[in-house]
Amino acid sequence: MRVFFILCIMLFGHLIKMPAQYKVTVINSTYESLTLRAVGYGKKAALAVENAELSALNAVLFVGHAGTAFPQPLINEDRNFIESKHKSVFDDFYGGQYRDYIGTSVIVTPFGKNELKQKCITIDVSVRVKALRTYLENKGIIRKFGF
Amino acid sequence: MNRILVSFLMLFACGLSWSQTATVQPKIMVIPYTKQGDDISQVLENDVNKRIVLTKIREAFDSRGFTTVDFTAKLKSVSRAEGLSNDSQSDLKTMIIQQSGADFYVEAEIDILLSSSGNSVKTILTAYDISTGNSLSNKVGDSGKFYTDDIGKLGSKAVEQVADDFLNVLQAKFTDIVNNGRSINIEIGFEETSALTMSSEIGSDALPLSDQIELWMGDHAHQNNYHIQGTTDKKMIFDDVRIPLKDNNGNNYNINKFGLEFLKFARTLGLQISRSTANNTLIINFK
Repeated sequence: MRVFFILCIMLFGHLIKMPAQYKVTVINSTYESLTLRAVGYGKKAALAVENAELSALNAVLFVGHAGTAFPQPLINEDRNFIESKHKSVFDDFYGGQYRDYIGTSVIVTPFGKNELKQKCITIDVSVRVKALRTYLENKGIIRKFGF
Repeated sequence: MNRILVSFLMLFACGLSWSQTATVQPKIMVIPYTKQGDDISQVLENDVNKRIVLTKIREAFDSRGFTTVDFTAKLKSVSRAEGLSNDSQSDLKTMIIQQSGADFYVEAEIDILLSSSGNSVKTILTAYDISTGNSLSNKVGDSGKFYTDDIGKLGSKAVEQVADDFLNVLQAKFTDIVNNGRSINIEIGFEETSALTMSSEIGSDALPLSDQIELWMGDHAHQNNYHIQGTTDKKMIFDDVRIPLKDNNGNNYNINKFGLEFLKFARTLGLQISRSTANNTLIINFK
């Protein structure tokens, strides 16, 4: 009975996707780009950097940043919905194409364990927001300006 | 065999180009804010900072791949066409807005604040739908205080701060128009010689003309979305009728085509009409 109960909880957890939380804070904002300080987690430094960069990009794509030139998210639809609707585009994007829209990636805190003993890295990621929007428009993920 | 293949490919390419009708994009014009009685041409000519701010706003549209109607060029062409003197330009702004063919306009106000602790510029951007007068997007940009006399640069900074968000809000309204249709005004009246009134009983079911019109409007407005401003015996005004951007065949649909639909409807009732359009307002008069 206990095993069945645990399995049910695991299945339920798998079916319901929790809203993502991105550990990012705004460092600088210009008319063209946004620099975010992001924390990334991973077993190796490269994976942690990738995680941090994707957190920064996803925060720009799905959250937006008040007080900057980009207070609205670039994509105003549910993340799971849009990612499944344009699966091949997002597979390519997360597979490495996202790097085209990162200007700089500077390590702030080197790879190591935090107070919770999690392996992480903190980096300042500059996201080329305008170029990213053009990419999304050309791929048909968001509407171009106008009708 | 090769020729057949080439012919087939050409036919396929032609078919593709026919099936994809480009959507007619809205026309947007960026204009400076002027107070009552200000000469709009002088306001621009005498103040380079206002010109910088307007250019910066147009630049924001350009960066989204969107071309705006050039206000200065329109100003010159209207002045030339109408032979306007400086004395008669008090309502030139309205005239330019009406004659530009623009669907929307963005009004930009610039406020320069000079102080011993630094200078700053505030800009107020407001986008309007010309047909309804609805305000679509509003943003206030602030450059922040700097020890500089370069007011143009401060103006640019104030615009840059809000331009993207301003366009995002405007785009949200455009998306609403794509989904729910665009808004037009319709004024229905009678020619002076007409014996008809809105209460004249018309058609096989002998309903009053105003009711016949409303029933038709309900069927033909996009998603039954229309609003009557008022009805009198001599006039019926719809201040917001939504029409689709595309017809059922995917072709572009506009106010003239809607007017044509109304003409056909009038003919089914055995009535004659005259119609004209100006600034997304359809004016219909029964003969």
